[in-house]
Amino acid sequence: MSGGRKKNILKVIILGDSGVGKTSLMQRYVNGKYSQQYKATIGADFLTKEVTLDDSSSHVNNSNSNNNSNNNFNNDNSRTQHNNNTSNGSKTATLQVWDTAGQERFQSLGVAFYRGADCCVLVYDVTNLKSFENIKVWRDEFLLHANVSSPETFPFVILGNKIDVDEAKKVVSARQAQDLAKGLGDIPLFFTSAKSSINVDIAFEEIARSALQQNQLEDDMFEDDFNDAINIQLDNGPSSCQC
Amino acid sequence: MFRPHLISSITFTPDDDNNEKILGIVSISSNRSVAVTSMGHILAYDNEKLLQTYKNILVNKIDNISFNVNDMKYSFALSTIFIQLDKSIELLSSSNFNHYDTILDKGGFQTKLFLFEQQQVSHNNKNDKYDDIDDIVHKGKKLLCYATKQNGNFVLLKCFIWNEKNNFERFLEKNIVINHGDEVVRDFNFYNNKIYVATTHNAYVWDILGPYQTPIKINNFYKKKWFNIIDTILREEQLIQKNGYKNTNQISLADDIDTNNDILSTYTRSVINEQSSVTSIKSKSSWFQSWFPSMNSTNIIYPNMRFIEKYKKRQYFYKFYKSSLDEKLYLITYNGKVYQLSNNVKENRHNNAKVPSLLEINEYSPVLIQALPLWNSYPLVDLNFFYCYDSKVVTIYHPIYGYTYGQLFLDSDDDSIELVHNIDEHIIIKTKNNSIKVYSISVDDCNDCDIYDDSLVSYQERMVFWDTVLFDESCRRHEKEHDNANFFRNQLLKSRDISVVWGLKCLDHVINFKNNLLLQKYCVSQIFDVFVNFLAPPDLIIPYINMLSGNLNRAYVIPYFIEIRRYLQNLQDKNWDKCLWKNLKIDTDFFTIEQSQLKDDLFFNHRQNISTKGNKESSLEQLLILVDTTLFELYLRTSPSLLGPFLRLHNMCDADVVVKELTEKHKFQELINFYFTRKDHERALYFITHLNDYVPNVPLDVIVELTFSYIRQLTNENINVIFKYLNWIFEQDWQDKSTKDLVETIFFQDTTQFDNLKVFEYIVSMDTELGYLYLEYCIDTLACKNPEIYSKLITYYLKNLTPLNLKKVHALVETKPYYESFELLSLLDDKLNTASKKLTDNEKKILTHCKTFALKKMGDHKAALKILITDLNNYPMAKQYCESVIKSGDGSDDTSVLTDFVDVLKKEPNHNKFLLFLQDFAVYCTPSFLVNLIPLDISINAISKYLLENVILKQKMLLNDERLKKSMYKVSLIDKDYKLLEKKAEYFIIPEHSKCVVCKKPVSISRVPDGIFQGFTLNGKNVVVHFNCGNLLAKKLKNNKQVKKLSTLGNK
Repeated sequence: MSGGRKKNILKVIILGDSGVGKTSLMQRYVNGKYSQQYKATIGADFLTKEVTLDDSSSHVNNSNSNNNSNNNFNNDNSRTQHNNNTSNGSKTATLQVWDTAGQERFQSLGVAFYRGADCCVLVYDVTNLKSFENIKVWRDEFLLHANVSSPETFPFVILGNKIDVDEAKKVVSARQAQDLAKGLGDIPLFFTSAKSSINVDIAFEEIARSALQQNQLEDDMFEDDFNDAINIQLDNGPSSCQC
Repeated sequence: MFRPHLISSITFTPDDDNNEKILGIVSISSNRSVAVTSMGHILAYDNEKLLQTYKNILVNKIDNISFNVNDMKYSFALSTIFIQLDKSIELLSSSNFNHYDTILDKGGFQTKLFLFEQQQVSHNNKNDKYDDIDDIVHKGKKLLCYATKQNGNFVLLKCFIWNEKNNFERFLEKNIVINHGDEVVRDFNFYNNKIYVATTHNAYVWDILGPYQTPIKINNFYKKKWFNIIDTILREEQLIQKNGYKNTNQISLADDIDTNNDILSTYTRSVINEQSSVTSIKSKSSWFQSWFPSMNSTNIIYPNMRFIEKYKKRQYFYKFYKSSLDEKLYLITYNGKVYQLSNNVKENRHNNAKVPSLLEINEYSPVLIQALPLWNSYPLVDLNFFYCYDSKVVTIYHPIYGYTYGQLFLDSDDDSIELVHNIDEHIIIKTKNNSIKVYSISVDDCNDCDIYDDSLVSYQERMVFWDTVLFDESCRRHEKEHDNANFFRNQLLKSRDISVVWGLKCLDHVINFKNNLLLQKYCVSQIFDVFVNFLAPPDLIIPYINMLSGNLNRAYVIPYFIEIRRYLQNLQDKNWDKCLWKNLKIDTDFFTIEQSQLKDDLFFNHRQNISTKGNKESSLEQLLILVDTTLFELYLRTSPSLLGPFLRLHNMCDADVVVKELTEKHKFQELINFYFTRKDHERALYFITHLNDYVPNVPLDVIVELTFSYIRQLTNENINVIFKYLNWIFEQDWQDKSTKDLVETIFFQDTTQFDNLKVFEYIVSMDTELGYLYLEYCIDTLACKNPEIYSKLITYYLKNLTPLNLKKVHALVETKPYYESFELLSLLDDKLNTASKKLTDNEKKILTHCKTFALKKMGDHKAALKILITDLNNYPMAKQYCESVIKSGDGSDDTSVLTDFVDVLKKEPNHNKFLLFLQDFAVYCTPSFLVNLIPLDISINAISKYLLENVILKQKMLLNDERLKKSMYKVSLIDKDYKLLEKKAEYFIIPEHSKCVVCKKPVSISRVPDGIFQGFTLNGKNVVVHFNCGNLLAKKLKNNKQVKKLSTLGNK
């Protein structure tokens, strides 16, 4: 119990305007499913997926699980101990992808929800200019709510979703998106389609990698101060009964 | 506090004078109890009287003199009352008290009975978005456990298990080794599908439902480095006192804030001071002082708390406590020490079974805990408290913290308590004098102020009580059932007040922990969790900011303010569904100090001084300004990297403070962000252009670059600012970019929508050519449809009629029909008339041709065709014109345009063009139309060819049409034939014994001649009926149809 705490759950939060496809992306990545039907997310819920990452690529295992939670955002309790370093140098971790309701910006979820995030995914819809323009706002709001200690290095990933639509319907050009990503500090940018399963896995590999990096950084900085406990030996144990 | 109220007191009087007395009692519902007498009778009570006596139920069990009832338990699911006698357990049906079974244990019992009913968990794991529904339902098992008397070094643990269908499933018994002479089994608990057993000296886990069913001793003990806040504070302050540390830095009120280490600016302090001086808020300071009457007096020692001495040899466990608040299992010792069952599982060396650990979680306990008869402790059902009793008093206490929250004394001195039982909110006491007294216990806070002082421990005590009472789901359910929402609301607010003041009091202590910063950090984190949880009014927290280090402010104070800000913004945005705190609707007053003490008149007599604010919106605005400005200052001092994101978002910071602070701190980028968010672009640009006033020697190029970058982000709303500062840039003679480049970068883009004409006027005033280039950009790229733009551009082209402009004007009027036609005609005519001599023939022709587009747009085809035929003498163009009109029209216009065309052609000196017309357009005309239109001087012979062709073509079209119809009829006929054959092929076999569905008489070929049956299809089945019956049936069906047929709007 004593010693350094090693988190192996990578908390990833998906943000973006309503209807940009946050839930679909998450479902596509975790469950490999897509539903045309739109249902607004209420509060927040998360899915988890085991990922194995090495230096050059990441491999995604099939084990995933599904949890719904609208209340208990303080998931520190759920972080159990695992070995996150395997023998061949690759690292396994559990990606905990938190989906949020995009209807209203940061007005429903408290600071506890954002605490301990390892990566933030900003999603916009290539057919919705407003959702693209709001990416900056989502980023800034996240930085404040998560109380990120070093905003310059915190990993964000931008996903331009719904690229399967006709070219005529696209209102956000790739150039615009690249400019934005560059302007925000060379944030990785992916053009994805949850519907046609384009780039989703690749994007989430990058997300997992960034999250792991951030996680390790935090681990290095982590002062194991609060929850540490020391082993005590009661005198009434077997050893005390020698006589 | 819990208050007991006596509901009833019934004294048992035996029938005969035989000293019969009550030996045991158990409740089977909130108003029904069952008692066992020494004669083996069963007595059924309600709250008011003895209902019935069931005689001699246990008569054959009282052969010996030592007949004694040790314990009674009731299982609702099993409908059974378990009566523990000295050497047996008797099982009685709870419906008729029939004795139906006995569990014999000749060795006797060491413990009472422990009955556990596993919750019937219905776990729905739904992902309804994708229709994956996985329902897992665990049905509950029932377990009856106890320990037998010690035999040698062993105690036998026994467990009877009933399955989810309430059938007896199996019996388990296992030994545990007793190492100490006085070691006895104290308690059992069922937690996470395992039985936990506590002896006075050890704890065991017994995985009765798992694969390894031997009780395993829990040998792993851990101790928290730091315990809860109160323990931590007590320990630290005792240390401080021991070391002779003088507490000199007590919390002071807002106006006493230390200005040397100042995180808050003079603004925030002035706001606080100002608020304190406002009449309506005067109460704040008085309230504040009333909450902290002893603020300046050091009160470190709490005589009612004691350090739990380390019992080196014995722990003396006595009870498990399963909290429904955190769903954790605790193990309590006699001396007040509490262990929590930890998730830190270790594998047993011998059998690989997983054994949990016990984590020591406290270091102090109230002095009173030692005086309580803890050995007689039992959980207070559904309330997360324990009660314990001796002969005189029943005490309700919190098992973890040891605080007592209510005591129940018997009203008569000559009687004493023998047995206590609890169900729902009732405590049932059996006294020595054979009385059964039923008390109800209710939550009551009337005398709180008499009981509690103003010490931190007092607040802790109250906070623990209200947290346990109000935030436990079962209690909340209980409150709802009682329809006592108002009471609940008031208590919730009171709980908030207590918790917030508790937090503030803790902070008063914690800020002194300067020698142990890590400990201070831990405490502050816990305290601010409470502030966030209870949404403490920001006015109360702000004074502490300066007393906390930057790291603590960054880590804990900022998130608190962000949370408060979120609620305030929801209030401002009127998102009422999100303005809820623990399901309580909140408003602006909730965040001001007045509201936080409104319900507790006992504490605050100055309530009448509080005046309701007339303008809540302005109050909310003030609060937002205060919170945002505080946040700004916190970010500025403790987390400057987040200043940018904060100021880029909408905020209500006090502009003067922000500007002053940012300017002083040279945070110019942030200042510009702030101006931009505030849309105060004029000031932002003024600041940028005067940057040299703040930072000497900034190269002009840099300033211009910054100005230009800022301008690029502006929209049409600020077009005048853009013009103004563009002009400024032009004046600076920037080498990097030419005027054209600058203008093109800003205006020649499609992401921002500008007022095109305004932009044009601006550009054209600088560079005419660029201005008209902009208009071309508007038309070509931005696809503007404003006629004024077209008009201006065409006027420009006509005025500067170069060959290129001539082409442009022609292309424009031909392809972009968004101009004003009359205006275009007027412009063209004007040009053709006034500059006729200067124009070449080609120019005239093109401009004249342009007129036809305007006329076409106006629908004046005749005039257009006249221009094409007469003025331009260009039949192909006229033909093209006609064709385009016919193609674009809906057909009705064909004749009209052709008539116009013919009218124009008739006026031609010869008929060559007319003949061409016939060649091209005869197919569109009927012969009569043509004959009517033919000029009188043209011979039929000349037009016969076209006439004939026209007639033949028309007839051919008609013929084709008729052929098509014929083919369709044929197809239809074949289809009908097929359906007829299908109908003819239908048959039905009449079984020999079939009956007519109408008259129920047999329908048989042998009885009736052929040909008198009728067939029907009823409800999808083919039936055959007699001919006459068939008529009746048909009539009935027809009537039914008529009746059932509902009229619809379509019928009308």
